[in-house]
Amino acid sequence: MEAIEERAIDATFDVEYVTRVEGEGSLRLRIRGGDVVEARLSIFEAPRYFERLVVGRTPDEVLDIVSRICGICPVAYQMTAVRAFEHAFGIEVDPSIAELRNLFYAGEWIQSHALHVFLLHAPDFLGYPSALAMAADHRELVERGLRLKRLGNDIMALLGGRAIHPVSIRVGGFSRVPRRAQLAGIRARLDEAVDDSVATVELVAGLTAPAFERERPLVALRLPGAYPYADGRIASTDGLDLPPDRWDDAFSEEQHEGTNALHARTLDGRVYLVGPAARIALGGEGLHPLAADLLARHGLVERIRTNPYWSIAARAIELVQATASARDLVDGYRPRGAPLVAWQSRPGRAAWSTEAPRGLIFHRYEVDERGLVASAQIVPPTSQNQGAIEADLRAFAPSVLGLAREEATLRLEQLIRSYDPCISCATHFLDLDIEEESR
Amino acid sequence: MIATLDRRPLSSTRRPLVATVIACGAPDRGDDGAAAAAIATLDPEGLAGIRVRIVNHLRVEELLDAAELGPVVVADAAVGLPAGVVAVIPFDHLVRVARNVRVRSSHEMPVADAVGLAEMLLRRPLAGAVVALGAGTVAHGAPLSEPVRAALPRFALAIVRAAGGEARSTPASVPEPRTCRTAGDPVTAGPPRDRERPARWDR
Repeated sequence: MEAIEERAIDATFDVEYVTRVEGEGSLRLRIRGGDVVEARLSIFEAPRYFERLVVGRTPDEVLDIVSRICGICPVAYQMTAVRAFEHAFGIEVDPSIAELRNLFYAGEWIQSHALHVFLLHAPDFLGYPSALAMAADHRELVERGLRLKRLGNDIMALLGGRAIHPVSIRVGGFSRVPRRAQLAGIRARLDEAVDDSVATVELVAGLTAPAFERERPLVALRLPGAYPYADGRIASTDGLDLPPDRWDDAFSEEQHEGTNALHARTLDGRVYLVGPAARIALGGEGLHPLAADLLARHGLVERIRTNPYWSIAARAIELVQATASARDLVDGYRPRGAPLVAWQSRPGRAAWSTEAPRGLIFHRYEVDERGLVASAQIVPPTSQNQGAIEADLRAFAPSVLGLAREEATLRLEQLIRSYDPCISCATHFLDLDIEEESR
Repeated sequence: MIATLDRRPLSSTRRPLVATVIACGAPDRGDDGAAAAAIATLDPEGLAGIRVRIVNHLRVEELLDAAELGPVVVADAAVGLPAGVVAVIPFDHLVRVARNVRVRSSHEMPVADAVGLAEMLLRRPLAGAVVALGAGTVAHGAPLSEPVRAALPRFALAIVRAAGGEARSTPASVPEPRTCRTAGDPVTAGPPRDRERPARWDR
């Protein structure tokens, strides 16, 4: 049966390494009778076994281990794990600690979105093969991007001890918190960062994106009256509403051939998307007034919801959200008491969802009587998006198959970059492979 | 322009800053941690005058900060080289070669792009080099592979010499890598050459 299927394939098209994405992977298209019958985003980095590495570890050790999953978004992994354990153990942190954590998370959004918008994605819209080529004509754009990125890194380093794989977040709070004087150094740069972010929205709103509308379920946390970082309920554009610890009541992971990342699906087998577009579509009313005004003024909501290329605008809006909310958080910060509360572990399930820069992330741990992790499930955004990315590529690919190979590869890569896949997280990367066979 | 090596001897102690070494990679991912492991083999005196930054991945900001202080050496494991092979690639050569190839990279952006971007923003060429060690396995939790472990002293020597220092703790019997200067494939490895004369970037 399999041999018959193979003979029926007319062609394949391979992209051996997709460039300007984080991590390593490849794309293979299989074409039959002019139709793209399969688009496989292969993630061939070796399995990383983090879910096994945390078994037998204490909750605080888990925070240090999971931060190693990604050098771009370590805070997302730490925040999701810490909220899972605190929820399970009944720990209430001081509101000032919760606000510092949101500031910590905002720092990660700023550096991640600045990297993607300015260095990875903008060259596609402005017609350059790389950020390096773009910088020759748009030096100020690259400088603005690096200025924002550096600020995000510095916020992470101030709160986490270092920007990559931070170390200070603990179950029950932080091992240490900054003094107000230290935050003042960040505050002085946040005004400029807000201006830079607003200018970024003004820029991207005027870009032209390929027409490629897609209707698929979008999933994100929704938090009434606020924009979600680490709180809210899991919501979807088709009506889902779940507490943040019950992701697995609606979704599951499955193994697919040719990739070392698990794919997530709804329990009835449908693909869906998480990420900035989903957050804006589902929770745009909770945006900071400055971001909400820009979103409305440029009429971006519908474009962001339906066209994956407009994710650049979603990230730009979220840059405004993150910088403006960071400024408010710094202004309102009043340290109170010890940064760490005492806690006692409880056996049972510890689970939570938060919003990583790339989208909803879910962790679940089973904690035993000794307070050690007995099992774990870590679901990053990219493995949730992979099925939808492949479905979109399958729909998009016919429009480029008549083009020269180099041009086809470029167009396909541009679409892939729109989802900002972090293949490192999902285990890692992208190669295009188009395979041609005669009947 | 190709960077040149100044072969004049340097004093080994109390030296002013000669260069910054940015050692990239995750120590918990097999051979990806080779750069940090190589640095760890060196006697502190061998690093006199050299500022070492151990980072998970290369960022343009890191390069810009380091370039403000002097020449920069980016040390990293590379999957395009045979395991255990050391290559020294001056930045100007790297940027030139990278114009014509699709670069595979797990950094935020390919090293050649990061160097090119830093040069553009600084409005001057960056003095320095990439010192790469061919990686075997980069699986999470894996130890260093045997070829990479065996090559650590050579890798360390190449890093320090590219930075203009003296690797005193490196065994004298270990072959020294040579600098790649030809267009095309940047893979190099070779027999000792000028072992007694430490190098210094001079632009």
